[in-house]
Amino acid sequence: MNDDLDAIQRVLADDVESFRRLVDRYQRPLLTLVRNLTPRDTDHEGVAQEVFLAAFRCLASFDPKRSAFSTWLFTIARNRCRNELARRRPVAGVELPESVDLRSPEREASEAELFRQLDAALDALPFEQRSAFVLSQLQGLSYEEVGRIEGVGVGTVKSRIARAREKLRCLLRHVAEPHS
Amino acid sequence: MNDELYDLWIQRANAEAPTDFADRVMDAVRREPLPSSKGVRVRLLSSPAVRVAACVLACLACLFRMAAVVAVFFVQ
Repeated sequence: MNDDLDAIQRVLADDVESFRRLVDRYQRPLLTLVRNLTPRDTDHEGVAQEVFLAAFRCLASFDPKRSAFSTWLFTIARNRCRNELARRRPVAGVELPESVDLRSPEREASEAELFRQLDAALDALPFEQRSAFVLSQLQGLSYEEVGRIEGVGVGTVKSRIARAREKLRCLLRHVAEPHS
Repeated sequence: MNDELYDLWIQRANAEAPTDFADRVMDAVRREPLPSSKGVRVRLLSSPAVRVAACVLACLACLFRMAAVVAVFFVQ
């Protein structure tokens, strides 16, 4: 986006206040990404702020020929979230938890309860699947953009998203069954 | 997938930024050194052409050193 490049050039010419244009434009998608890639009790705003600061510090190394600024920023954010997750949960690849007990005695799970369980299911996905799913389904990025951020090919992105969707679909199917 | 529930969940997952979030980020940014102050070396190293040139130079230097070592055995 040309406006991004203009803001970046101004910041590199020591007009620090121009960085605000980038913050204003990307704060929402960045917070969405961070909130959905890290555990619920994480300081999401703190992490998002660190991502913006990291981008500011390394702004001179951003190469617009290689990627869009948003792709570059989301790559920093994705890696920062992965580090946060690894720091808190050293065992990777946790499967869907038993706690997603949609066959609980109540059965009439409220929407809020369902969303909480979907959140838990998202938390339980392996980081690569979760990251690809969030970038594609919540951020609305194309498979190519997700591939650039993840550092993998489009085929791998599609398969990761498909596997994540299948796990969430399974959860929703279990919810729908008691009501039908 | 139950599309209606799924769409609702997706909408809910999209975060709103607190109104003062950008201000807090900018306060932190102002405390940082200017990116341009460390710019020349970073910009040089971030250029693919410069990196390729540096690698080529390093390879040439390595080959030269290896040739110099091998040459010891063929001096006569």
